[in-house]
Amino acid sequence: MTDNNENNENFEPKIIAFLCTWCSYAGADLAGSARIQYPTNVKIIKVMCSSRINPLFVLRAFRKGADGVLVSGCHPGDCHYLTGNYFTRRRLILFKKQLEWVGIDPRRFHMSWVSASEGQGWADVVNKVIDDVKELGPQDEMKRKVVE
Amino acid sequence: MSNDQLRKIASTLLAEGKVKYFLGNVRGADGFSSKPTTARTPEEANEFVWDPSCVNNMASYLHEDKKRILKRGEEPDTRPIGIFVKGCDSRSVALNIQEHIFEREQIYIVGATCEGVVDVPKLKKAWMKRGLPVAATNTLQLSIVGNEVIASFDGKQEKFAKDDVIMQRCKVCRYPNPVIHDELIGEQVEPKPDAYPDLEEMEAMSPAERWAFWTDQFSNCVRCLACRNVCPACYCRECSVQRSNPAFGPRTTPTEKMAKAQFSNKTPTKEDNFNFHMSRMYHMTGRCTNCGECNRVCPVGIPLRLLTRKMDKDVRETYDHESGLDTEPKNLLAEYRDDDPEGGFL
Ligand code: SF4
Ligand code: SF4
Ligand code: SF4
Repeated sequence: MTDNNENNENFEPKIIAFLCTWCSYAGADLAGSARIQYPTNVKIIKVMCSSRINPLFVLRAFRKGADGVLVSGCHPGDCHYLTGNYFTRRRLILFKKQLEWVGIDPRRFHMSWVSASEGQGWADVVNKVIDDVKELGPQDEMKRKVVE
Repeated sequence: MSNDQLRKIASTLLAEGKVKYFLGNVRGADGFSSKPTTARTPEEANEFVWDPSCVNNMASYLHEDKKRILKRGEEPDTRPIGIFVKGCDSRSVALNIQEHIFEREQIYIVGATCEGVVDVPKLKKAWMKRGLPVAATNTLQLSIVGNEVIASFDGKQEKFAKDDVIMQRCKVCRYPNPVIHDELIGEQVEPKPDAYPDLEEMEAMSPAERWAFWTDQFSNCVRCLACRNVCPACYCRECSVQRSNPAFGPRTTPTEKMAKAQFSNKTPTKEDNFNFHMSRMYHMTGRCTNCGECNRVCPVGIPLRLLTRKMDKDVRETYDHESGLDTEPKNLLAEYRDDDPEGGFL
């Protein structure tokens, strides 16, 4: 653990963010065009709807070495497909509890609602996630050790 | 007593041709356990037993019916399948009906109220410890009376404390009486209180301790997939954790790639085992009926029930959902309410 803390100064976490194309991705886009500064540690994967995100994607991201995962969609009630994010909500809340049950720190996995008009909101979420993950240090528990 | 009742019901059904076959238990070769069997004639049905050694959840064997391929020119048999269920098994059958794997009229359910079943390895151990003759198990009769498991053989009786030898799941069983049935054997049994005493120890641990515990357990897993095969709620043709290695060519479409994505490799390494167990746990969310079969069959003794029980608790606390209580279509993750809790979203 001491190793982590020493390295934390220059530790640049890899965060995988799954964003829905209609709200969160547009929000991230807005942050870019409004020139809001936020760290570059987030690698964005765009999906059509947050309910497209199988929780197994999250596991797969961790397995491939992500230090943190963020899933973001439209606010409840604003889903482009009307009800998609209600399903996401049920799935991810339960999935997070399961991760906690086997002892994964809940700060590795974040969920958020970011709408298309919330450029600043997106930057805040990213900062929060990166702060949390930096505190935890590199993720080594779920990462696959052998070469594929 | 109950043996006779079950045998009579099953053999009458088969003799009258009301069911195509009947799923039940017969005495296993070692004399202690029972083994699942398919009876197609009244004579076979007269071998059935119903006693505290009937641990098998017969609902798992219903899926075999779906897998059978008809011979050329063969007419499908539309008669229902007869099945023997205990309280917990009846929930598994109900779940299969809820999920439209079977329709209600495709299954003829003979339910039995249940005081609990014995954990056969534990009973064997206790048996050996007392130095009882192994040969006597040929005539062994088990029954549960009050707080004791009574084994009678050769006109003698041997008593074991119930808490020492019954399955862990029976100590917290809230549905000892079948939730759906066409015929019922036995008197109503008092359900156990609604509590999760088995989770307390784990809940008191810190996340780091839990992680240490589970990595230790998961690293034992040999990925025999027995826990998946025995589960009455696992019926996918192709399991998401056991896909053949997909061949990706220049013409593989994204859709095909997605359908073949591998979520965990077949090699039982620590990380892949973790993925496998998390996938299994997630796929069981809101569907698992807590029959505890996965826990029973695991050859390396991973306490899988700790995962499924926790899930059951979460689901009930958060969404007040419990699967397999009736035959109304109901699925936790395919439904939503506007006012579902918002816990944890930034
Ligand atoms: S869990 Fe309940 S119904 Fe199932 S075997 Fe145990 S006591 Fe019987
Ligand atoms: S039954 Fe046990 S060893 Fe086999 S795959 Fe399941 S957890 Fe692993
Ligand atoms: S996951 Fe285990 S306890 Fe749940 S239904 Fe399947 S076999 Fe039964």
